[in-house]
Amino acid sequence: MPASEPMATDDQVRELVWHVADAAPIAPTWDRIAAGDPAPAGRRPRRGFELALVAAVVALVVVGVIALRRSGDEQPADQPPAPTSTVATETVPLAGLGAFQAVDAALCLTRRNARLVSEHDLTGLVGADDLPGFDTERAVLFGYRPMALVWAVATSHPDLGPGDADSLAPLVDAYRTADASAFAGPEASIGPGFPALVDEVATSFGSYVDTVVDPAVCQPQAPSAAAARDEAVCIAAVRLRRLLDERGTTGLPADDALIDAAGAAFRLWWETTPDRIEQLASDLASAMSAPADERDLAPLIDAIDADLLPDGTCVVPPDGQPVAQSTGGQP
Amino acid sequence: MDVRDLSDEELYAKYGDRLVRFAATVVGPSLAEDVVVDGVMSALRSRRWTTVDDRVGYLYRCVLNAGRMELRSAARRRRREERAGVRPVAQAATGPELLIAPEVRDAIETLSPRQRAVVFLTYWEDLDERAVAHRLHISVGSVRQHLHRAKQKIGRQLDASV
Repeated sequence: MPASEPMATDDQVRELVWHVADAAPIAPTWDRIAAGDPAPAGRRPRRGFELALVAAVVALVVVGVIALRRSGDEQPADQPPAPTSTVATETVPLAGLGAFQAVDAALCLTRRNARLVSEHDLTGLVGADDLPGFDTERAVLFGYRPMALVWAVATSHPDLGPGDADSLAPLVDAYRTADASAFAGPEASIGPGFPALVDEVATSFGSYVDTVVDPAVCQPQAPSAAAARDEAVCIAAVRLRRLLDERGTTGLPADDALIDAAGAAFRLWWETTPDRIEQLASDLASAMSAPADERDLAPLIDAIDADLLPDGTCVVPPDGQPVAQSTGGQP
Repeated sequence: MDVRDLSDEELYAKYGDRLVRFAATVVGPSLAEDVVVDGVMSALRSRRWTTVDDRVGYLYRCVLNAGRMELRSAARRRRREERAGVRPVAQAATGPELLIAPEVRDAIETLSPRQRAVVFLTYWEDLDERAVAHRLHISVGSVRQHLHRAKQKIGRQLDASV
């Protein structure tokens, strides 16, 4: 940051906040809340339900298209079966579209941040109120599978976030129908089963990374391989940061899933800012080598925040060009 | 009396005024009332409400999310209107917004909802970083970052308006 950058003082900010807070109206009466009528006259009620319905229909249409395409693709008998990784990558973009529609609607519907997807994860990617220039339609093109997976898993858990789990059930089902293999592992649960969720996410995350970094696969869904890679870098950063944050604050021991996720993120970052990644990788390794009760991941998390979300706009640049620091990602 | 012992109505009576000020900072005074009603109702209807430990923080987060939804809807509406070629109506302050000086409104509007939430909790409620992080369910690092960026944005805005 240049030294001449203007910075408001505490007193200036305080004065400003007090000015606005003092202009607030009187709090609504308890009777109005207890009456259960949040919508003033003229406002459209149950918009969330409509969105959910539209999302479910879209997801069904996508599943239908997938089924038709697959039935039309006859593989010659003398061809060997496709390798497992290819099969996996084919399902990702196809499943992503329907899932993301569901995710988008779910986000609109629930008005909440689940613990695992708060901050920059989904609200940043989908809602974009912190990210000027974010284009939801473009996000749909990319098919944010890991994000969709995390969201679907998180929303299927009754203990997360305020409300509406029941209304989300059709959306989660739609996602499962679109890509049943994504839920082949143990059913995720927070708390005692949290490691299972991490495993699930890390596995999905790894597949997604493999898909995006392969230009042949990502070309049909993304405007360019470089842009897709930039997207993935940011997703990787967000995901890793969240995983580290969860582990750092809950005190759970590190496991292979966490290391795998970190490794995948680092592999991506390596292509863009090798020197910095080398440093982060070294920091991570040394943080993880400490005993669980002495492990302090906060500095590393702060470093990742500072590096990869410098101003809240790096997830998707407004003009669709790669982020400034991603100089090595261009093929 | 401990917050945990309060009934829903008592809790609201105690924090309703703060919540509406909080909402006014996030979405502006004219929408604050509706956002508080939406947020509090979504909290009360949640299945988790009866078991949640930090009910006050939960209320704040619900109100913040309701506010973000409101802002997001407004942004979508604006984009639709732009696509349809509707000339945007000049942003004239109305109702309670008239109480806010234009330069203050402009400065607040440069902040994201979460940044607005963080500055409110820090400067109006005088909470420290850890308490803000706890209330918004984010990390202390994120609080610092939001605060830093908020000060930068406000500084730039104030600088430009001079």
